[in-house]
Amino acid sequence: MGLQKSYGDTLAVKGVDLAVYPGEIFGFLGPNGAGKTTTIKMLVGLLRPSAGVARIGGYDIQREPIAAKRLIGYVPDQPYLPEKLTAREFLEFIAGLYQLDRAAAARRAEELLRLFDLQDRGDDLLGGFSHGMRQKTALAGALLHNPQAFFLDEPTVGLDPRSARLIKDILREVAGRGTAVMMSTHILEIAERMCDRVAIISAGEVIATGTLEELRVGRTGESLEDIFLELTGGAEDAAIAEALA
Amino acid sequence: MFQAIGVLARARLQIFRNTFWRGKLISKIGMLVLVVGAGFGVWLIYTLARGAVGLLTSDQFLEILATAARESPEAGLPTDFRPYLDSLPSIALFGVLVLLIFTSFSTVLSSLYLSGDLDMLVVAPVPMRAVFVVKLFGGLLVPYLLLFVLLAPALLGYGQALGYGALFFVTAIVVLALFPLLPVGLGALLVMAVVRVVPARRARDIVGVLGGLLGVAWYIISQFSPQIAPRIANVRTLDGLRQLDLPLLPSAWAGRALVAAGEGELLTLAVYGGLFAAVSLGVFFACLVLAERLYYIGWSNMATQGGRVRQAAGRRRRDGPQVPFFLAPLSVLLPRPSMAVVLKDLRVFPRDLRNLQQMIFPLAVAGIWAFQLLSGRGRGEMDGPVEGIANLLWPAGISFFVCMSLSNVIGGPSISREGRGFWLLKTAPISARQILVGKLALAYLPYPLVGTLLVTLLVVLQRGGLLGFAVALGLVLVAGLGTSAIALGMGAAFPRFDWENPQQQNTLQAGCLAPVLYMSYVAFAAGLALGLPALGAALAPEWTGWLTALGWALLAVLTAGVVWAALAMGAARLEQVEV
Repeated sequence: MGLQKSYGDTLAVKGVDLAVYPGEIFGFLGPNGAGKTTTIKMLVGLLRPSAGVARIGGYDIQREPIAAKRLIGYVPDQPYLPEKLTAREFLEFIAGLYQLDRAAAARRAEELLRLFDLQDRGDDLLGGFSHGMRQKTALAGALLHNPQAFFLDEPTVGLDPRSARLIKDILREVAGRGTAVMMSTHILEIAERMCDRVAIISAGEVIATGTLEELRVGRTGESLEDIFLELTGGAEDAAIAEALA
Repeated sequence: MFQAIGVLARARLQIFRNTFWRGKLISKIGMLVLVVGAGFGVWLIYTLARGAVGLLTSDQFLEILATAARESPEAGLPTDFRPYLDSLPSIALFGVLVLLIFTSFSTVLSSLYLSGDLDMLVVAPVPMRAVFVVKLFGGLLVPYLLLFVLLAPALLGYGQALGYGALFFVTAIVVLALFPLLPVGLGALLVMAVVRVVPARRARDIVGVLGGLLGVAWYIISQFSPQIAPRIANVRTLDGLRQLDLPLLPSAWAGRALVAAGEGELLTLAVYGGLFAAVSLGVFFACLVLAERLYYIGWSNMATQGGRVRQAAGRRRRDGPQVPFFLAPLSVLLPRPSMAVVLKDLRVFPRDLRNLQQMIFPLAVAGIWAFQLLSGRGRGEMDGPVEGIANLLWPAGISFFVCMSLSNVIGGPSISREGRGFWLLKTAPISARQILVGKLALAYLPYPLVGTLLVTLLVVLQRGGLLGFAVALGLVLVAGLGTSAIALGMGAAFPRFDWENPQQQNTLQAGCLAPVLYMSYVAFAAGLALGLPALGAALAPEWTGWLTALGWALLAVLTAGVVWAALAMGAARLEQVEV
C-alpha cells in the first residue's frame, strides 16, 4: 500500500499499490530500471520502504518481520548462495532457519532435489554450480517450507527450456495449493500464458493492473506485448530501431 | 594488436581515475595519507642508505676497521670494505628477485585469471595476446611500485654516497624498469602451467596459505634473532653474502652493471647490462609468445572447473542433519534458527582456505609468546605479593590471547562473511539478535574448547594449585565472552558484504573500534577479578574473601552489560541493513 522508495533525491518507486491473492499468479512487468526488483525487495523485507506498508498474510513486514517472513518464499534474480555449502547442506540450513521438522525437511529436500534434477549433484559445493543450477537450488530452498507468498524475480533467466518449463509447472501447482505467487519477468509470453493478473510498472509507477482482458479494453493492441509497448512507450523505440535498421 | 592494447589500457586508466575522483572523500584522504607516508618512507630509506654507505666509506670507519683487524687477527676482519660495498647492489637485487619470484605468482594469478572483466574480454574481438599484455602489465604495477618506493631511494643514496655520476642513475632507472620482467614473466608461465591442472581460485587459496606460512616462518626466525644474530654476525657470513654476486645470476648482472656505470667502466657496463637486458626482455617476450595459447586454455579450463564433491551422507539424508557432539549442549541452549547459523558457519569456515590463512599468523604469534613466557624470557623478576597474581595471569593471559586470536578471526568478520548471500538470512524468519546469538556461540567456542585445554596445560606446567586453575579458567571464560561479543557486535555494526577477498571483510570502523573496546574491557575485567583481591591482600587481609567475591560479581555484571550492549548495537544496525 503506497510503497515508496527513494535514494537521495531519486524516487525509484512512487507509491505502488498492489494486492496478490491466494491461489493466483501475479505478473509484475516493466522495462529495465522501472522499479520491479526494488518493489519486490521491499515486499520481502530486503529494503525498507521510504513510505507505505507491505503486508504479507496480514503481517506488516517491517513491524512483524518474523511472522511475515515465515510465509514468504523468495528467489532473487541473482541467487547468491553460500559457495562452500553443498546443495543438501544448503537445504538443511534453510530447514533450520524455518524450524521445519528435521526428518520431514530431509525427505522434502530429497524430493525437491529430485524434482530439479539435482539429486546427483546434491553433495557438490554450490560454488561449482552454473547459474541455472543455482537458480534451481534457490527455488528448492524457497519451496522447502511451503510458502504462502512466493516472490520470484526473473525466475526463468538463465534456465534451459526444460527447467523453465518445470518452473512454470511448479508455479501452477504451488498456486493451485493456495499460494499467492508474484513474479517479475521480461518474457511477456510467459506472463501472458501463466499469469492470472499482471501489473505494469514504468518509472516507479504502476501504470496498469488487471487481467489480460481488462488491459485490452480501450486499447488497439491484442497481445500483452502490444499493450506493454503501448503503455511504456516501447512502440516508439521499435519505430526508431526499424529506422536505424 | 597495439590498437587493442591501447583501448584496454585506456579503459583501465579510466577505471582508476573514476575510482579515485568519484570515490568517497575518506578514500581520497586515505590515498593522500598513503602517498605522504610513502614519500616519507622514500626519504627515510634514501637518508639511511646514504648515511650508512657514507659511514662505511669514511676514513674513521676504515681506521677503526684497521685497528680492530690488527688487535684481533684471528677474527680475519677485512681492512678494505670497498669490495663488500661493490657487491651490495647485487645482494640487494638478489633479495628483490627472490621476493618478486615469490610474490609474482599470486599477483599475476589474480591479474590474469581472477579479475572480474575476463568474461567480457575473452568473448570480445580482441587478440588474446593484447588481453594478456594488459593484464600482465596490470600485474606489474605492484612490483614496480615496490621497486621504486623501496629500492630506488636506496640505490640513489648508495650512488650519492659513493659519488657516482649521472650514468649510474640512468642505469639504475633502466635496471629497475627491466627488473620485474624476468620474475613476472616466469611467474606468468608458471601460473599458466598451474591453472591447467589446478583451478585458479584453488591455486590462489593454496598460495595464500603458503604465503601465510612463509610469513610465520619469517616471524619465528625474527623472534629468535637475539640468539641467532651473534652466531652469524661474522666475516664468514659477510663473505657468504658476497657469493650472491655470482655472475651466473641475473641479479648479479644488474648489480655489476650498476657498479660499472658508477665507476665509468663502459665495457663492463655494456657486457653485464646487455646480458641482463637481453635475458629479461627475452624471457618476457618468450612468455608473451607462449601466452596466446596457454592463457586461453587456462582460462577456459578455469571456467569449467567445479566445486569439491563430498561423500554422500546416507544417514543424514534419512534423519536430517546431525549435530557434532561438542555442539550438543548448544543445540539445547540456542533457538533452532541460531543453531542453523552455527552449523552452517561451522561447515563453511574451514572449507575456505583463505579463512584458515588468517588464523595462521595469530596462532604462531600466540605460540611464540607462550614459549617465550614459559621459557622465562620476557617475564622478568617477580617478588612479593604481586607474584601470586602474576602466576595466575600467565596461564590466563596466554590462553586468553590464543583463544582471542582464534575467536577474532571467526567472530569479528562473521556477519560480513555472509557476503552477497546475506539476503538468505534477511528474508528468513530469524531476527538479527538470533543471528548474532548463533554467531556469538561459534566465536566463543575457542574459549571453552581450546582455552580449557591450554589453561590446564599451563597450570600443570607451572605446578599451580586447583584454586589458581579455577581463577585462570574463570577469567578466560568470562572475559572471552565479553571480547567475543565486542568483536562480533562491531563487525555487525559495520559490515561489508561486497568483498572479493576475505581480508576485505573487516571494515576500517570495526577494525579500529573493536580492539580499543575489548582492550579497555579486558583491563577492567582483570582489575576486577585480580586487582580487588590483590588490593584486599595488601591493605586488609580479612576482607580479601569479600573483595574477591565482589570483584567476580562486578565482572559478571560488566560482562553481561558488555555482551548485551554489543549485541544490541550489532542487531540494531543489522535490522537497518539493505541488500
